[in-house]
This record gives sequence, C-alpha cells and structure tokens, in this order.
Amino acid sequence: MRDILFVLGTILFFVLGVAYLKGCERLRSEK
Amino acid sequence: MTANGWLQILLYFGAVLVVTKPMGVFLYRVFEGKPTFLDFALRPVERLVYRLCGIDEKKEMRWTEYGAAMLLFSGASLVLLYLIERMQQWLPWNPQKMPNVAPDLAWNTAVSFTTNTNWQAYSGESTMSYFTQMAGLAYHNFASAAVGIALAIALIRGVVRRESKTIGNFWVDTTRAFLWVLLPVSLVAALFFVSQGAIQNLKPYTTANVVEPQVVETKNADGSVKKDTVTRQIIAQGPVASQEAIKMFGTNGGGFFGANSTHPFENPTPLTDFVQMLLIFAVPSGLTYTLGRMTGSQRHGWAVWSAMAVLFLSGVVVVYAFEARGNPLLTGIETKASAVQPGGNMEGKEVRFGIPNSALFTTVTTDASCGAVNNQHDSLTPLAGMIPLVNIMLGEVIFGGVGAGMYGILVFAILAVFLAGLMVGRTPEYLGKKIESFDVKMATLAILVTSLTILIFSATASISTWGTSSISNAGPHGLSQILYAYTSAVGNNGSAFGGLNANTLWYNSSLGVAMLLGRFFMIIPILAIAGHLAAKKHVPESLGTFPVTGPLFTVLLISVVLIVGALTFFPALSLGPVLEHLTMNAGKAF
Repeated sequence: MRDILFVLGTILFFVLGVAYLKGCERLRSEK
Repeated sequence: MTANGWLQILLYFGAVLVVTKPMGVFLYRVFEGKPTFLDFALRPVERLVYRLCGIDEKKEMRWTEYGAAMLLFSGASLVLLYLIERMQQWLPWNPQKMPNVAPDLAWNTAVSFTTNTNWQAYSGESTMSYFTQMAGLAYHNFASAAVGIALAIALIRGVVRRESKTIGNFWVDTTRAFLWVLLPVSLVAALFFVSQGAIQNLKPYTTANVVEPQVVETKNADGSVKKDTVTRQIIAQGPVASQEAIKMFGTNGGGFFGANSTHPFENPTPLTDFVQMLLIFAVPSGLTYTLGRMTGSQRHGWAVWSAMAVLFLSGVVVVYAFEARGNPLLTGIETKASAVQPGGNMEGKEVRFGIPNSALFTTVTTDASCGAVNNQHDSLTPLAGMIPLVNIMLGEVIFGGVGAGMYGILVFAILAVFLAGLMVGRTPEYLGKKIESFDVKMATLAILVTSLTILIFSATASISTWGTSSISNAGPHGLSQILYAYTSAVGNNGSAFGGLNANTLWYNSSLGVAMLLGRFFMIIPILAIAGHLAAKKHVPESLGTFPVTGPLFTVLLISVVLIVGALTFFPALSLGPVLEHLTMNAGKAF
C-alpha cells in the first residue's frame, strides 16, 4: 500500500512540476 | 590555531585556484562542442548513446522543453531507484543478504540521490546491497551531477545567446557531462583512492576476532543492566573507492558507510582527505572560468570567483577559530595545541585529520552541496556549527554544488544588478541583457521557494511530537538539529547534525518532499530566466551600465548573498546556535 502511495506521490509531484513550469511560461507571456 | 593548520588551509586554497582555469577551459570546450583530447575515445560512445536512445543531437530545445526533459529524466530515474531498493533481496550482489529497504526509507533515499542531496537516514553497510550501492546510488551520483552541470550551462547560454528561442539540448548536455567530465575524473580518482588504501571489492563481510574482548553494558526496559562480552567484529567490505570518487567530484556526499569520510576505508589518509576536498570544488570553481569564457568577459568570471573565495575563507576562519578554542566549560583540561595533542574541541573528530582539516572539510562540504563529512557536525561548538548551517542557507553559492552553485550565484548576480539599477535609477543590465520584472520575479521565486520550505517544515517539526521525538538534545541544540535537517534537505546538501533520528515516517516523508521542492521548484524559475534572457536583444555597454567585472560588483554580490540570507534566517539562527553559544558561555551546555 505504501509502495503505491509513494510511487503515485512521486508521479503527482512531477506532474505538478510540469504545471509549475507551464505557470512560469504563462507569466512570461503575460508580462 | 597553529601555523601548520593555516598552511594546510592556504595550500588547499592555492590548489583550488590552480585547477580553476584548466577545468573551466575543459568544460567550455566540452559544452561548446570544441575538440578535446578525449574525443577519439568518447565521441563514438556518445554517438552510440544517441542512436540507442533516439536522440537528435542537433535539435535545440526551448527552456520549457529543456525543463520538461529534466523532470521526465529525474522522475523516471527516481522511481527506478525506489524499485531497486524495494527489490534488492531478489537482485544480485547481495552477499550479506540485506532485506528489501522499508518503503518510507527507500523513497527518502531515492529522492535524496535523485536530487543530488544524498541525505542518508540509514547506514549503507547495514542497509544497502552492493547492487543497490552501485546500480542505484552510484548511478544517481553521476546522473544528478550531470543534470546540475547541464542546467548551469543552459543558464549561461541564456545569458550569452541573442534573440534565440533555445538554450541547448538537455540530453546532449547531460550525456557530455557524464562522458567527458564525470566518468574520466572519477575513474582516475577511484584508482588513486585504491592506491591509498580505500577498498574496492564485492566480498562478503569479514568476521574478525578482536584482540581484547570488550564488555558492553546495555540498559533493559525495566532499568536492569545487561552485560555482553564482545569477542568478534564484523568488518564491512564493498565497492567503496569507485563510489567515493563520484561522491566527492559530483558533490553528492552519500557515503558507502554510515561514518562517511571519517571511515578509513573511505578516506584512508590525509592525502585522500585533501584530494577529496579538492574534488568537491574542482567543477564549481572551474565553472566560474567557464562563465567568463562563454560570456566573453573573463573578468566577470573572476569577479564571481572572488566573491565565492571571500565567503569561503570567512567561513573557514570562523569554524577553525571556534574549534581551536574548544569548549570553555571544560575547565582544567588542556585545550591548547601541543606536540602530544591537537588541542581545541576534538569531540567527533578523527585524530588523523585534526582540527584544521576538520574545519576545512566542514566548510568545503557545506559551501558546496556535497554533504560528505570527515567529522561530526553535531559535535561542533555552537558558532562553528552555525557556519555549515549558514553556508547551506545562503543557497550553497560559495562555489556550490556542481552546476547548482553556478546557477544559484547567477540568481544573486541578477538580484545584485537589479538593486544597483534601483539605486541609480536605470534599467538594470547583466552582461548586455536588460533585467526586467519577469527575471526578478523568477529570481525571487527561486529564493522564496527554498527559504519558505526550510522554515515551514522546521517550524512544523519543532512544535509537533513526531518532530521533537527524534531529537537527542534539549534546548537550542535540539532546534539546531531540526533546522539543520530541513536546511540540508532543501539545499540538497545531505550532511546532518547526526544526533537527529531521521529514520521515521515523518522525517523520511517530509524531508523527501523538502528535497524535491528545493531541487526542482528552484530549477524551473531559473530555467525560465535562461529562456527569457536568451530571447532578448543584446544591449551595448554604455557609461550608465553597472560594471560586473570589478571589486565593486564582487562586494555588491557578497552583500546581496549575505543580506538575503541574514534577513531570512537570522531569527531561526538566533534561537538555535547563537542562543546555544550564549548559554555555553554562561555555563550551560546542551
């Protein structure tokens, strides 16, 4: 169970990372 | 303090200065695609890697593509390491039959090595199989360092390029850092360590009969004392030297053994100690020269190097002075250096290295994001212990980690020219690029993410039982243990105040999240700066341009680094090491 949580948590973090990256890009185009 | 001690510190400083230019020129040639003396052997391997992985080496990436590739590579290799740890008992090279690593510890370690932190809530010799050490941990020592170098080069390209949408190719930069920079030096360094006595084998552990049996007393739960006679000792073995080389050169810091570089199999002689410290600073110092060469302003590279050197020497002086002074509460004990004893505070130190080399190692390993230790930081006197903490809090920009130090200091350089611009009322420029609000927002974001993560997690742990139940000292020293853990995790350093029991579900999970945020949520705004700067036009230098090539810039850069660090962390430091120092002088130690 913990294995699934840690792997899914990791994937979620990196998906958030891509969203964060997109957010920075959007901020740049809106400047 | 002794003249001999100062001589050793100055010798080290001189050696760093000597390697800076050759390393910087080599890095420049590798990443600008110029011929190098290793091309005949490595170019065919590089082509093979690209063919096998389907990489077009001519394809350039926008900053978003570069960042996404970095995230994909890091995320996939993190999960792979987690799976290796969780399945190690069924994998080869496990002569000690180590069981699978527990899920929370496996995840913490996988995050730790992916982020170049190498925080270790375990002792390698009692937890990890040889396969995990080599294919899992040592691989990540190379990979995370290669990613760091690639990112620094990408940011420098952002400064250099004009009206460009791209900043390079992540896969090419990482591969070249692996093949040209990290592998060759690690190979030579590993052989050198073996020649000095570091071990390199795949043998089962050796059991030896001790010369003099020892009686060990342990307290039972009911308060009774149990006595055991120890007649045998297990001597751990393993492929140590190969891991040691990249551990230092990649500023990773994760030891094969729990004792890290205090262990004679990892760091056998004073000469290996010296070389290990030199390996830590070799690439970070060289990158300042690469910065100068790539931007066409060698004086700027040296100005940045000078700022780093001043901060480095200041740190060494403080640590050495306080450790040589010793603990004033130990009255009646001879603490002066003499022919028969090294003097000062020798708790937690190796007699082979003594106080000067311990002070130097402590400063070097926390200036960089290395985190290897040749003495126990938890045993440092309060203000000496504050220096490694401060070094990490400042963002590890004093030479810093491989690549990480360079992109960290460039964030401060952008803030420095921005502040200089505010003072004289002109649009700030950095090496011919106008610094606009977006750049400053991203630079601020990179600094805020790390600072907030450290302070929020430290505060949470300090007021909760799951946080305070792991500390081994009361009062301000207990706070320092918690603060150091989160600072080290977010700064991707990995060293620790070892008194903290970090192998708990709370610390494994929260430190893991802290490491991820400290690495990737700092890198993304920096890549955004790179992409934004690359797209800009070049502005010719004018009389109103703030020069970034002289002592004025060096002083401003040092001031910005110190002011940002001091404003953010002084309250926390005053409750930890500063208070501990004052109470120690008043007669109470923790």
